[in-house]
Amino acid sequence: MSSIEQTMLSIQNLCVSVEGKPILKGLDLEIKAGEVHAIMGPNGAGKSTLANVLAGREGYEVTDGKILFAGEDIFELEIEERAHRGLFLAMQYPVELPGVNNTNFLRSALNANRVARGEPELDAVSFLKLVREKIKLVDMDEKFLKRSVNAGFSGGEKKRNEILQMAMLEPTLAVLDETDSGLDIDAMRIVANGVNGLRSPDRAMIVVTHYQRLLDYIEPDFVHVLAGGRIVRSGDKSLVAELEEKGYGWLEKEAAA
Amino acid sequence: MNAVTTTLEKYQQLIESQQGRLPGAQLPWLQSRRQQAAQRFLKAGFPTRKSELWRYTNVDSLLNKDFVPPAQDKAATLADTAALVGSQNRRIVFINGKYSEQLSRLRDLPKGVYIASVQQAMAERGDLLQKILEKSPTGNFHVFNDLNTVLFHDGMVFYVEENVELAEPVEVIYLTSEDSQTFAEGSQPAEGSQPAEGTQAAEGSHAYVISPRNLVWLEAGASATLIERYVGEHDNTYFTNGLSEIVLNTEAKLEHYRLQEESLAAYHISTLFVHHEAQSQYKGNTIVLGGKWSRTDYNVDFQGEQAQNRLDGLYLVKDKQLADIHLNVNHAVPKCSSEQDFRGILLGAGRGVFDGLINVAEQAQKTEAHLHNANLMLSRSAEVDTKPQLLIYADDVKCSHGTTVGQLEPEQLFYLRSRGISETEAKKMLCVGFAQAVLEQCSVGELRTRAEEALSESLRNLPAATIEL
Repeated sequence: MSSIEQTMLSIQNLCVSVEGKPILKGLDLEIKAGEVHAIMGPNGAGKSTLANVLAGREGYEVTDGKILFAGEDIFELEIEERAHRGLFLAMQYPVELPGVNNTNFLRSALNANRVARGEPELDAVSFLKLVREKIKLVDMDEKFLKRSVNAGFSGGEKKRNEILQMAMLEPTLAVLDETDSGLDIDAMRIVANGVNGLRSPDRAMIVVTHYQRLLDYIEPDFVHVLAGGRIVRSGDKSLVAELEEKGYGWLEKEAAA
Repeated sequence: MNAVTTTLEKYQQLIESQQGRLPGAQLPWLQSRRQQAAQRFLKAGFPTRKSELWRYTNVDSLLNKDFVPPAQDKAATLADTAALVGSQNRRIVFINGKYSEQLSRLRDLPKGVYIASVQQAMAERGDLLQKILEKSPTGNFHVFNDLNTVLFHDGMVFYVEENVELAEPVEVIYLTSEDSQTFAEGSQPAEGSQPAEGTQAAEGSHAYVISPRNLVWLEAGASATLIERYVGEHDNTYFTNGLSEIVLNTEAKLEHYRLQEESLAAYHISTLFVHHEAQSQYKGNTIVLGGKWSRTDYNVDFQGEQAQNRLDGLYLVKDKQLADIHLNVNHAVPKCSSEQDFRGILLGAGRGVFDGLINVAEQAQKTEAHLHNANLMLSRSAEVDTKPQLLIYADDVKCSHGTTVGQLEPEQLFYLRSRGISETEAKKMLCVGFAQAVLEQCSVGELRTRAEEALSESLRNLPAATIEL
């Protein structure tokens, strides 16, 4: 098998501006199936920008470079088409959808993806069986299925709901944007367990985080430091400890130099 | 001669043509009521846009059409209709305003409950009819109410005796048949085509004006649930001019759910009068999906203390549809509470009007009143005129009002799409979600499902392009 075939995501010289201000300035990243990559970096380095550009959120202007997802130019795909191809973004701030029932939402999402892939829709009985199985992974009460999506959920409940969606949709590439933000240690452990339960040789993950603590629970294969709009350092998980000790300052200086 | 005079003359002829044909000729008090209404109607004439009550609701297209009352000798029948599937076990059905014994199910009513058509009640319970009509504050909130009094042929009488609790919901259904609009020879539209915009009922053709009258009376301590539906499963033009009078005596409780699914070429007026005695409770829920032009008026009168009134409503307008909601809540006595939450979804060049007025009289201390109207605009050509008003003359009250006009949140849309849901479907889900606050107030499961499905259907049949941001 050639290396091209194994590459799930290839980001080449990605340059992105937000409201005319350059945020990403030539970012390169290669990710293969089965790998877990952590992207760390100081606030404002462009970590969330990268996550949002991957998912197709509005407001980000790509000024140069390209992203190939399973060989396809991601910018040619609509937001929902990226999801159909197996991309999933666990959001930093999941929005509340008052009046939209969580079960109906999960079922609509799952069936939309199945139909797009040429698979038959799941009937109500099979769907409920599946969701009851997956909800255990995130230790979530079934009562949350009857509520409106994220409406009135605590921070931790929202993040668990994100991982539940990920478990239901079984993406090939999951991007976790600051999934640890706003979580206490117990909630973070539950969320991390959920994520670890979804690690598989066919699935790649990008874990975006500011702090090392999430990476104590989700062990990355590779760690990248994003600073000044570029990846300035890559390594294995030992880099996490180094960053914890020295902070980001020395890398930012290097990047600026 | 100006156009207004001509229109009024047209209606005068219509009224004269009905002389001697209207039911209830044996009831002198009713005759005099009809005559008074006719005089008021002819004196007042139709509203112009200078009238504040009609400022945003142009009646011209309604008045330009010619309507005739349905032929009363014709047997009212209708083949199996989807409108009756899943309806309640107890129901009273009208076709083109005429009572259908065949489709109604009123046998074995519990003791203390009287449900009948107005014509039946005229024959058997003239006393009851008179009692309701005289107590009710009705009459003439606007000119179309007088027109209903002059012309009504039939409707529903719903009476519950003291302390009788009717657990099972009762459903009243107004259907219109395919022949509610016919065309004169030569003016028949091509098979499958819809009547063109502004089509006039040509010489020899007719479109029906149907004037249903609903009379609801709950004696002290009685309770009931009533479902009221209007259905037109075709594209006909016709005019429903309905009037409902609801009297709730001390501690009576009524849940009243309404679903308007008239044809998309129909004109529809519903005026409701709710009279509250002390500690009575009314929960009203009204969903407006049909009609080319529709207006719903709630007139709520508190005449006894500690009564509660809650109104929720939803209106959805598509291209060239108009839905007008008027609320007129009158707190005349102390310690009553009222709450109104109306939501609108507007698409294409749809138009909505919300005019909510809460009046708190000087002596109505300890009143609690909250009025809210929210609108979701799904196109740049849609328009809503919203006017919530509180007139407060008492000084010890808790009152609030608010209104919002907004669009779908891009963040919510992105969230759904990022999960693989198409843009069109995502918009539909958010619209139905917006409507849930109203839909979830409905405690009758079958009706809630029907309303939800009808709403989804209204949103599904739209080309994606009309849902623009």
